[in-house]
Amino acid sequence: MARSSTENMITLMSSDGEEFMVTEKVARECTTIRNMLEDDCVITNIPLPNVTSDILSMVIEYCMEHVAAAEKAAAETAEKGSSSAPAAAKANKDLEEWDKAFMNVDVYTLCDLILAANYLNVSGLLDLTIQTAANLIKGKSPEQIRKTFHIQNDLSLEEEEKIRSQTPWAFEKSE
Amino acid sequence: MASTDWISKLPDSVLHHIMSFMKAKAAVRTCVLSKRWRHLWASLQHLHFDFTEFEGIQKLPWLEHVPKYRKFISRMLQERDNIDVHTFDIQNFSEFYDDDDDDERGGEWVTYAIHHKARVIHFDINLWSNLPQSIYTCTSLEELHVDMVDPAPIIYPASVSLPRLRSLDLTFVDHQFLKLVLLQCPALESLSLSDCNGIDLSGIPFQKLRKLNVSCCTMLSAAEELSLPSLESFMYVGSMSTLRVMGIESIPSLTYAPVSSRIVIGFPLICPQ
Repeated sequence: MARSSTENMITLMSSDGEEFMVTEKVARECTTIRNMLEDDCVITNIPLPNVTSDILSMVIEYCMEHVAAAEKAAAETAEKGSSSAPAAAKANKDLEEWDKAFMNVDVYTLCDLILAANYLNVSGLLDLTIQTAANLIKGKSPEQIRKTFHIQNDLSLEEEEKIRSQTPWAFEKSE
Repeated sequence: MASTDWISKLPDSVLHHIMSFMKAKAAVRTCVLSKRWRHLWASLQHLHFDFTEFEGIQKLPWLEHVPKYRKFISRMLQERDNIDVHTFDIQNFSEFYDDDDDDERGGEWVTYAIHHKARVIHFDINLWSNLPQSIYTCTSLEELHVDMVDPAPIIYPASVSLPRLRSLDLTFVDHQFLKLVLLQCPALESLSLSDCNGIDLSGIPFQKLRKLNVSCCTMLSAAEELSLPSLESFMYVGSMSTLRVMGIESIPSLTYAPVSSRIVIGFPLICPQ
């Protein structure tokens, strides 16, 4: 098992050949990488052929922020012997604000981040990006959803009408 | 690049994940977006039904939307693929109980969820008879939240086996009901009780319980009689007198924030070791 006390550095290589040096702790936020490290503890260089450098740098930024927040909370608990509820609530709120600002991206970046979070298995980032995508769909008409995500409608008018008539229970108007 | 349809290129599992954060009607309505989205809803395993998706805007009396909501739930369950359900969540389920047919229908929906190995079931009800007995022996169940709207005569389970249940929320149940159920939930990690009177939790082995929320209940057991070796958090809303019965004030490590002299809300309890 790779359980070192010193800060091991891991190099992650994006699909376009850019290298990112991160601490093992940050890399371990990605369950996919954590599993690789546990299978082979001497591995220090990990190619990620499915993730571009733009997206990988964002994933790393997210992981670093969340590792730092967890370390800060742990240090405060160790110092005071117990965590103080108001301080913990504030730290959570700060992290939520950070997440919210982090999600201020266009839909292409959002979709790429979803794919990367899914592939690297970063559960916090996956939930955050998926929730953001769901929020962009909620409360919109089909036309508005297509516009938001640039979804190409390959259904003819007749086909769309047919689908609506086959599922009338879902398309009843609420006046 | 400017008009690339990235979202439609995501795998089904990811699109289902996105749809699992949506209410049922919005999820089904994605079927007209494009061919890629045509059938996705039918294999969705997270079903969140919410009456507010059907309410419409002021013009019609509220009650007139009830049949649409009812019909939607029945049709979606009929027409979805015959695959397991992960989450079965009905908000404002109790609103449209106006006759015996509805009792039966409600029971059928919950039975559907149980037969499709639901892991999470959330809903509100008016009568305990609306709850099929099979829910108490649903071995797939990990989370059960039943919100009774008004107190009603309790129907006790004939047999209980909930080996995977991790989270349980109940309202208006009594001591006998709780004892029957809680003795058969070895994996329980979170318990919330609201409006329950005369609750005595002593003698129940809460080996894994990490979170206990008690709201507007009268408790008969003192804290030291409870076996809560894994407890991490305790939230209480109610009168001080119940807290005195529980003897919680005397726990030295306790920090709490009384809002007034009578009501205490939401303090974390660090259990003495």
